[in-house]
Amino acid sequence: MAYLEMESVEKSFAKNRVLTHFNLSIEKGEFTTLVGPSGCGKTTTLRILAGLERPDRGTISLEGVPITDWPPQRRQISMVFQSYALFPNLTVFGNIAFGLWAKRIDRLTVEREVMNLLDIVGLKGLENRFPHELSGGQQQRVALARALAPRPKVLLLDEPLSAVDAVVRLRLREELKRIQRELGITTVMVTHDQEEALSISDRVVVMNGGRIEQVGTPVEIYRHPVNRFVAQFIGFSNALRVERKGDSQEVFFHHYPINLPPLSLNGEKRLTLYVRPETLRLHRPHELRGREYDTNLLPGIIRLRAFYGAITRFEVMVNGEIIWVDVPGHEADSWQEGDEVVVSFSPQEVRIITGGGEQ
Amino acid sequence: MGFGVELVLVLALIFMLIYILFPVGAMILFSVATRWDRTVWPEGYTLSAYSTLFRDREFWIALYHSTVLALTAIALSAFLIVPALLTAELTLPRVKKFIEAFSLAPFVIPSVLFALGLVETYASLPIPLYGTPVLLTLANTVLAFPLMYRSVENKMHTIGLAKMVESAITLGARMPFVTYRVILPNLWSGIVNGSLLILSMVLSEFALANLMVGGSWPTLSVYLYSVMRVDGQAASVLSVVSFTFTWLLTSLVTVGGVRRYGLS
Ligand SMILES: Nc1ncnc2c1ncn2[C@@H]1O[C@H](COP(=O)(O)OP(=O)(O)O)[C@@H](O)[C@H]1O
Ligand SMILES: [Mg+2]
Repeated sequence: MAYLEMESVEKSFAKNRVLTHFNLSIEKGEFTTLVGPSGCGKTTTLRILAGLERPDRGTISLEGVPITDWPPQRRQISMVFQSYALFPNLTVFGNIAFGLWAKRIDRLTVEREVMNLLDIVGLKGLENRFPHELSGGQQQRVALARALAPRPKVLLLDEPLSAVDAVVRLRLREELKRIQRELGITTVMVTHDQEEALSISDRVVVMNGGRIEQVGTPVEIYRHPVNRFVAQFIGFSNALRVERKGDSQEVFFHHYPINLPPLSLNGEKRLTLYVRPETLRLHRPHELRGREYDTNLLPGIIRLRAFYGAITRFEVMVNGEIIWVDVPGHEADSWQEGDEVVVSFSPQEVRIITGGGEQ
Repeated sequence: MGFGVELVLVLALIFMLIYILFPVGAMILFSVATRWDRTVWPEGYTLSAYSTLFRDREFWIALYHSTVLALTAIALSAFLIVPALLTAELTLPRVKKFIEAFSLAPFVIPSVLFALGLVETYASLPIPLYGTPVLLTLANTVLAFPLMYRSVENKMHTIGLAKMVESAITLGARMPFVTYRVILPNLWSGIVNGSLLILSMVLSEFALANLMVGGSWPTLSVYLYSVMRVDGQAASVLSVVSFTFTWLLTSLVTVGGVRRYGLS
């Protein structure tokens, strides 16, 4: 049995069904991220874990003990809200000490613990400030320290980095990861930012419309999405709709033959292939002279060139459809808008999802 | 901002101050005038009207009654509304709409109608509340509801109290502790605000007091009314006094709140 479990949880608000048959297992010390579009039920999941919301059906258990009916106070699960919700009437010290005061822990211990936490989150010397005297990033750190102070069994973070600016966000992300590792605390974070989810987590839970679409390590989720939703929500993918002639393994994108990795196609005629832009390559047409009938070669014209720093993204028009190709660093310099090109890719980089219709 | 716009705003401000201060100034002046019906400015000044008022036992009784009424209405409405609002906010957001609708009722029902309705109802009921100050207190509390509701609800939302309370309980704190360390300190200025509105409402409320208990248990406004019929100057003296009283209390409470919780 996993450390923290949600089994067959259902939750509706009035007629609005928010979580459907929700099963989730989280191991001790793991950093799990729930990621999904806005309104898919991420916050509700955290609130149910914290005991702030009661599920209509299903059980929550922690260390094998059912806690579904326990009040939040008893669960030892801390939650950091998107808005931080710091206590404006208390100083930084008071905010962090709050959970310890509530437990009537003696003054000296409280002082020692708070000072230790201030050190961990890098706020030494600010203990006498009030929340309104702090920057967004500092408030975020106070909220984190406050949640950690009572030594919870599980830490819940609801979009903790969404309210700070981009530069601070990246630094806080690294720090959050470091603190989580150091303390070994079981953490469930919510984000709608897939890049954040991939970079910070041990495991990613992709949610959509109150259901779990896929659970896996960041690499699994990115490289082996199990369905269309995951393929398109996590990272960036080209979606090529292809047709199969007869019962062969050969499929065609318009009239260009595509070679696929071996797989069982149960008589499907129309398929969608998902290919990451960074796995595609650009060639000059003359480089490939004599190989015109090879598979996985798509001739086109560069329509747009967008410089992203580490990569340059090219929008290539192939038979009226756009295919995105990412080229790293200096390699991108020799390609211009209007160039005639051939796009190639290896069969191993293709993710196939059957039933070629629109999502 | 353009210079022209600023000028207009400054003029508007000056006009508003004159509009408010002129009658107040005139009233104060009248309360200390010896005679002021033949000249532009009073002919002389005296505090005799004040000493007459302060020597009147009836005045102190009326002031006492009004204070009791105000404090009870404040205490009752605060004790009823703060927990109800918070519970609704945290557990049943939909219930809030009903509380809100009910709390607005006193605004839309004219107070004369309200008073007559209560008097009629309790006169025919076997409950011995008819004509008693208890009934007046309860009726005043009902009038006080929307004032307390608005102030507290407003404050609660501006500071996001619901999330603070939720944070506090996930940190292991029980409700009494949360009330004392989070709810009261942060809601304090909202409660004070509502209390001051209630105070000034109760001090000036006449329809209910007159129709429900009248002269048998006179409040400040009933007393003012009886004095006014005899002596116009005494009435303006009383107005100045009750104005000063309200203002003093307001400042005291506001300063107290700022001291205590460092909030403004
Ligand atoms: N207290 C509530 N009352 C009614 N509907 C709610 C409540 N909380 C959330 N919802 C609804 O549940 C759905 C999921 O919300 P939420 O869990 O906040 O999504 P997310 O955090 O993924 O954006 C949304 O449609 C939202 O409107
Ligand atoms: Mg959310």
